[in-house]
Amino acid sequence: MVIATKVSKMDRRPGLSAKNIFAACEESLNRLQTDYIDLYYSHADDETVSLEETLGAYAQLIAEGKVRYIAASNFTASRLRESITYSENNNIPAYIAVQDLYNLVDRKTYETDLAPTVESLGISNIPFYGIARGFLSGKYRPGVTEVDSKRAAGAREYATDKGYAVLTAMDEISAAHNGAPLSAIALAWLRSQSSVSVPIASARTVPQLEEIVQVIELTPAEVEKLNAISA
Amino acid sequence: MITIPESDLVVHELCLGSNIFGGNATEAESHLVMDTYKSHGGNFIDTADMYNQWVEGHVGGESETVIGNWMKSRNNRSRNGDRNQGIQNGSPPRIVSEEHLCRLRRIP
Repeated sequence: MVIATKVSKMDRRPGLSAKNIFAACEESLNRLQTDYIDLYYSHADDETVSLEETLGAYAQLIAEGKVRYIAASNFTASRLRESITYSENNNIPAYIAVQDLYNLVDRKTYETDLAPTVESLGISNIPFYGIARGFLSGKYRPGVTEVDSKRAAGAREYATDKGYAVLTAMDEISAAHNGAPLSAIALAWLRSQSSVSVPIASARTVPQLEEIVQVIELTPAEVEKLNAISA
Repeated sequence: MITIPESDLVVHELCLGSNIFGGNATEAESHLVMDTYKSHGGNFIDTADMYNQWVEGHVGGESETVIGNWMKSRNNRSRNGDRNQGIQNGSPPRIVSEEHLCRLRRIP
């Protein structure tokens, strides 16, 4: 197993001070019952701490073999670039990826600010909310008011005319792929985006997992269709 | 499988999120989901120390604990005991390998 975990947003382990990073890392290793973390994220930026302190702490954890790679989540483009430039100038390990919200019905935030920077830095996004908290699974349709999911409230915010138009386009693509799950199509679209390496999705049940784990290859025309309808 | 750019992490095309493990999904449900993911060749799980402190009575770390218990019971995480040896012996930390540093620095 390759394990990614994060530091800075736990209530009793807040921020990116060296002291907090070291303590949080030890606690995560203990809970995970392992000796190293493959990918360790700054879960949020912490501008109250110098880059020297934060990135120096990660460099030490990597030197000790407790962490293999570091990444950043919820950073602005400018702070991401500043952080990576600092690492390169000081010959210490740099963030190799970001984890930021990105999906077919929520493109603007990521594409406007972060995506061009991620591409120019030669790193990648491992995006979360790839199926828009369930909306892109197709469970939420016009007139459907009761869906048995605690995430229903979150998904409902995407229930707009445009959101439903995206689902309709996905239905057509699904039909051309032997009825592939819409979730799998939403994740395939993310993989077709140049700055995305691998999308994240979660499942509570085995049937949900069986949907998201399918890897669909979209044709260029299908990607273009989804690009246009979701723009 | 794909290699995450700027790393040698070779992972399945789906990273399995875990923010509901130990929360909305019980430990047993979570283990079943991870078993099924693994049966499809899955090998990449994403968590955070703060998952799922938003659940009443939780303080964070619940998701990591459920994942740790699963890896231990399935014996699918190498402990790589030698990684910690230097620290346990009180000797100075290992230097990151030159190859590793070059990759991180993106020097050809």
